[in-house]
Parts: sequence; C-alpha cells; structure tokens
Amino acid sequence: MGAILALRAGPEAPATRWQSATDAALLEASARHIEPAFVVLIQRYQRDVYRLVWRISAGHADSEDIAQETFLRLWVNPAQVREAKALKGWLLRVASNMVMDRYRRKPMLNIDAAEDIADMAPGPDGWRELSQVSRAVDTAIAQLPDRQRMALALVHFEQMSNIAAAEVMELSVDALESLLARARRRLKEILGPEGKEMLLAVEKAK
Amino acid sequence: MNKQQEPLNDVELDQLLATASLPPQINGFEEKLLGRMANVRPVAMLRDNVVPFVRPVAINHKPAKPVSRGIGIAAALAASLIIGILLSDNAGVSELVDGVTGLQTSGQVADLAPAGLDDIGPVDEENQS
Repeated sequence: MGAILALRAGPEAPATRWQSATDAALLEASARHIEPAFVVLIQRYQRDVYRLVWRISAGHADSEDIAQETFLRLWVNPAQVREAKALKGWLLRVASNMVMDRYRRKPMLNIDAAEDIADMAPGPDGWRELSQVSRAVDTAIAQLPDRQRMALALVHFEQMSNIAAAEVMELSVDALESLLARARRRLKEILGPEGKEMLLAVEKAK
Repeated sequence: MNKQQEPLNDVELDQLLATASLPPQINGFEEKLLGRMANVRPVAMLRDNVVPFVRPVAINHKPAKPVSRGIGIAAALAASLIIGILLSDNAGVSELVDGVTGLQTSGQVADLAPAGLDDIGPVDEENQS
C-alpha cells in the first residue's frame, strides 16, 4: 500500500511536477498526451468553466456533464488553442456554445423556471430570509434571454472585462455593452417593486 | 411616487445580484473526467496510427512527336481510300449491309439502282380513283 502511495506521489504526480508549469507548457505537454499535465489544466479551470455553465444553464443538472465535455474537447486536440493566454476564453466559449446548442435542441429546465417572482414573495411579513431573495434573483436571471444571461454571467459573475467577455462571445465590445444594458434593464423590470423590499431584507441580514 | 415603487437603480441591482446563488460544490469532477478521457483518443494519438498515404506518381503523358502524328494521319487516310474503293462497287455495299444486319440483301441491291424514264410502265386509268 505504501509503495502504491509512493508511486502516486512520484515524479509524474501533477502536484510535484506540473503544478507550477505555465499554461503554455501544460498545453504543449497535453498535446503530447501527457495526462498529468492535462490534469493540472483541469484543476486550474474546472471551477471557472463549471460556474459559467451552471449560471447560463440556470443551474441545470447537466452542468457538470457539459463542463466535462468542454475539457474532453480540449483533450482531444489541445492544438486548437493557438495561444496559451487565450485558453480560459477558449474554454468558456466552448462551454457556453455547448450550453446553447444543447438547450436549443431541448428546452432548458431552469432552477425555478416555472416560478414567478410575484409567486415567490413571502406573505405579509415581506422578504425575511436572504435565501428567499437569492432564489428570486436566480429566477430573474434565469428569465433573461440566453445571450443577455451569458453577458451578465461573464461580466458580473466571472468578473471579466467587457473586452474579454466580448471575445468569449465573439461580439464587438459595443454589442456586448448593449446586451449587458438590456440585461440589467430587464432584470429591473422582472424584479419590479419587489426588488426594493428584497433590498430591505438584504440590509437586515447584514 | 413612493420610494418603494421606484425602479431599482444600478447600485441596488448590484446589491441584489450579489445575493444570487453560487453553484454547488462538485465532487469527483476530476476523477469522472479522467474516466471519460480514457475512452477518448486524442487527435495526436490517432495521427500516430495513420499510415501515410503515398501519392502515386502521375504518369507523364508526353505529346506525340510530329512524325508519328503524321504517320497516324497517313494511315487513316490510306484506310479511308481503301474502304472508299471497296464501297464504290454495289456488291461491296451489299456485303457490308449483309455483314452488319445478317440479312441477304446482296441480290436486291441491283434493284436499288436509280429509276429512270425506262421504268415508267403503263398506267391503268380505270383503276385510278
């Protein structure tokens, strides 16, 4: 048993050999099908990819599957990524395209697609629980059109610059800004007057 | 207008967006992915198994020399002259037709000669309608 553990922690273990490697080195090694190098790439970007997929698919159960499929596409041909600095953008673009493709074929089952913000408002006591506000905000985001939701996810939740987000979405920066503005306007409409009450609950929870 | 009924401003919207849920932790993502990777062959590996296709050397069709081209033309001309001489006789034509159609037309060829005034027979006027 000890020998097996020693082998696992040997020179090929990602933690020791590849962990500090640059993306360029990892991509190059992955192209030579060195699996431990690819594992480090997975570790580096899996959270980003999964978070984006989860957000734009409105928390669909297939999110993990789509995130894995994204990495599989990279593993099949790492040379698709011409420049290592474009790797994150490439992964996010492939992942988001996959979400769009998959749900264009079959309707998306959102987190709370069937629920309406008004229906979620808690009785006469108002919005007491922060979790209720969270669900209402999730529902509002899920109701945005796909492209608006994606723009919001990239810029607001992934903290990407407008330029980087525009590259991921293969849009001009102006087009991205327009999508973002429409997304925010639409969210304000969806949340409506309830939004102010939700804010009170958020203030109280602090 | 009641403050509660005013639309949200950008700062307030950001405050609400900050409360949005975060994705749940995923367990075993790496292990599951490695399992799937085992069933997928990278393009580079596929390339290693491919036997390179050797493009066959194109056969160089050289244009015929002018002399040999002239011989061909002369042979074709001679053949057409011989066939012409052979066919100039009616029998030759008949034999050629017999050979092609398998019919015995040789004896009838003489009748195919162009008609002249000698061939005009008496007309039975009573039978004319």
